[in-house]
Amino acid sequence: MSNAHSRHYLAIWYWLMALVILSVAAASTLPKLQAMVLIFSVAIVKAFLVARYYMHLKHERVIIYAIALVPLAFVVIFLFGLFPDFVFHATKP
Amino acid sequence: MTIHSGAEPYGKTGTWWFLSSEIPTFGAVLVAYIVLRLGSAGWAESSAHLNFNIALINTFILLTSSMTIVMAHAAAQDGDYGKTAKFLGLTVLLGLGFLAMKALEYSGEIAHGFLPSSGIFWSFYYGMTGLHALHVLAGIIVNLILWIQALNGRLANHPHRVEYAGLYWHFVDIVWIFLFPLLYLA
Amino acid sequence: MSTFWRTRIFSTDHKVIAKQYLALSLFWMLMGAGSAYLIRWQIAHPDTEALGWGYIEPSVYNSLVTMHGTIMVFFVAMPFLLAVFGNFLIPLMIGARDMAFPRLNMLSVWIFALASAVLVTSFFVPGGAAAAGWTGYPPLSAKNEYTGGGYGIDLWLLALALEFASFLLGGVNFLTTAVNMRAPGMTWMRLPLVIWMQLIAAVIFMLSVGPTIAGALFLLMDRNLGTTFYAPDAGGDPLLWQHLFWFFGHPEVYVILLPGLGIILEIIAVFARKPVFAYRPIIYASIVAGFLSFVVWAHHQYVSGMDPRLAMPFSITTILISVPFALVIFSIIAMLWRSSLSFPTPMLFAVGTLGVFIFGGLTGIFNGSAPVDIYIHDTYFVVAHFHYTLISNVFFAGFAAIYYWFPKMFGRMMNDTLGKIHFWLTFIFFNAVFGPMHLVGIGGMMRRIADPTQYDFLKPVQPLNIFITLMAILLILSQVTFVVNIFWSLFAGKVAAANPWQANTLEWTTPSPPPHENFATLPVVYRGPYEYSLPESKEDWLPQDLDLGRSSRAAVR
Repeated sequence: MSNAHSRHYLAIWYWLMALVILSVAAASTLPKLQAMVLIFSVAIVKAFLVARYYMHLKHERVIIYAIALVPLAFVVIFLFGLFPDFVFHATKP
Repeated sequence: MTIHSGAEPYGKTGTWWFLSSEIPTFGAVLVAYIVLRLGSAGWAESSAHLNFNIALINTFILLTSSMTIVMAHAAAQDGDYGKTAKFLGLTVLLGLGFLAMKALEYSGEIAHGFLPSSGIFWSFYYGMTGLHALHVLAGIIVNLILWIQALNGRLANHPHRVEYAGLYWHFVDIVWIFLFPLLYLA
Repeated sequence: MSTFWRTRIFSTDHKVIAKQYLALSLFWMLMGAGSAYLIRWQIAHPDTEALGWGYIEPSVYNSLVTMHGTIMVFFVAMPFLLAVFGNFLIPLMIGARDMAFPRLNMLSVWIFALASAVLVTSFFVPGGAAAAGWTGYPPLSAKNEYTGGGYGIDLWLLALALEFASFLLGGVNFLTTAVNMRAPGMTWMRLPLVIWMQLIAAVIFMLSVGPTIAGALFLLMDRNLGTTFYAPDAGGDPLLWQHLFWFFGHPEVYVILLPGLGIILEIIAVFARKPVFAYRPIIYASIVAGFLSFVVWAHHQYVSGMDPRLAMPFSITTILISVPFALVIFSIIAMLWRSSLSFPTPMLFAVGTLGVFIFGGLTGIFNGSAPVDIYIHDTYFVVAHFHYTLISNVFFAGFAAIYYWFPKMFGRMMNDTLGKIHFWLTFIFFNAVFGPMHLVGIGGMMRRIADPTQYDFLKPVQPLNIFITLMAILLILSQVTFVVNIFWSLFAGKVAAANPWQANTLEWTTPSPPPHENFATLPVVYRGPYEYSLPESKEDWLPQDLDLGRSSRAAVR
């Protein structure tokens, strides 16, 4: 059983390595905006791979998923809440 | 029947609840960085002074250590504590390697006069990587304890703890997965 | 290790740990009340010598105001409502022998004790205790030259960080225990509401405290490492702290509120001898309120200089959040309708909570609406509002819980006559203090000022201030009845039976107090917790674990 698991973990590791190299390549070759989009998409994919396969989220009950995803949702809400003040500089002087 | 028999689900649920509090902690730090950076120019100039190569090596180190710790977990599930010890030991070494590279990186930056007080970018750089490094250190200590227990046989009493330590370690890795592009590639 | 140390000091038993938290909260209540007395004295009789203390310097006044808020929120409300009753009740009411992680539980209370020691120490360092308000806004909190303090604020931040750590670990324990250790037959929808509320509060806390931890880290770095997170002249922004703080700060008040609501739901069901009205809607409403609490935070920042266009969306969400709470409140009122009411002390305090909280909730609508808040922000109207909502939950509901569960915790009944006197004195003086305070706020008195008499426009409200201070002193003195009752009852109270209130929930099936490991045999649950006054039943109560030989709808696990 562990051999199949181990091969699978190794396979994920190869993907992770490849994705890092892809990000670095993008940073130095693509124009700024495209590079950023690609790099952060790749980061999300890497995080997803680690979470789903290394943290075994694939096999977990719904409540574990909720424990992982609900806080993430709140972080996103926080991000949007801060945009007006800090990105758009709509604060009064 | 003691409370801890069949404790496998307890520790996993508990570890995930703990991680649910860590997600908004690091999340808020990253959000603050993102919005402040998006709102002002000039940060890219500061970030050009970062040591990209060290950070890239650290990225490979940490990702590999995630693999080694999940291998340790698989070995523990099989009851092969020799293998578990081997992989836990590798994870500890990789973690120490990360911190060593980080120390090297910090000393380089400090030598060039880039301190936490050198401006807002450096405030965030030291704050974010410092908080992350502290979490790496905590993880190394946990992994070290489990490695020792794998060697002296005590791990057989609670093999599931390798999984819990792994969950925490993967989380720390995921934070770095976002820190690396935010600081070094953007 | 001798038995005293093992059973009383380094115990992993959740019941002992609950009592340790109780002792610590009672200590901090004393400190909180003391600071309130001095604050009120200074306001009513500025620059005179307070009885029993002496002259209050302006910098000391700032520390008093700061520490009163910090102590009451983080070192009284949180331990008293969550740590004491969560720890004591969760294992007992779900039918477990202890928490999922007893040693972690012991670590939690010891970290809280350490946090308390750090906070006490902060009073004695050069420069005195933190003096930048319980909300600690930079730049006031970031630079010592503004407050005249030394490292009091650093110790304050450390104490808070330790307190957060303690409650995070506690939250892990509460939630894991409830998810995994319920007795057979104790389905989610048979859980007593007091437990549901503790769990929802724990989740809210776990998910909200992170940003403030981040913010506190940034503040410590700004103060000690020269970073510029909050320094506007160096790329930072003081508004960042406000967002980081209030993203947690608002959900925090619901972390405090929900356990109080759970307590009064539990107690009112018992003394109205009626099932809880709308059990499931209350649970869903509380969960919805928990979610909404994460999107209202900027109502604390309407006049902070943040983007004014944020005012409307946050006003809307703030008004919206009153809806689920209204549902809960109306359900409680519906429980009283056509019930068999009796009014021992716990019930008096429970119903009292309801009345006081409703008033506080109503003034919340004024505060939450941005146009109105522009006028009343940072005035005593806000102070009156949050004391109506907080004191109703922390003290009225907390006292109700003490009077109700004291027999189970300590094996003795509290004196009911003294309890009733305690209630009426508290109720009357509480309203006498904070009722008129609304008028003081509308009259324009700002928060945190040390001498209202230096402003001509505040002269009309000064008689109210003097009256409020006198009532506050009487309110604090009234609590002597409670303290006397506790200590007297501990040693000479009537010995309590297992179930003096004839209640249905599982903790009443154990001896008073319960032994280590709680249950001789783990209970099996056959029904929900509120089967009171069933027409087909001889008694007006029906315990959760009573096997009537009929099959139950939920599978016994």
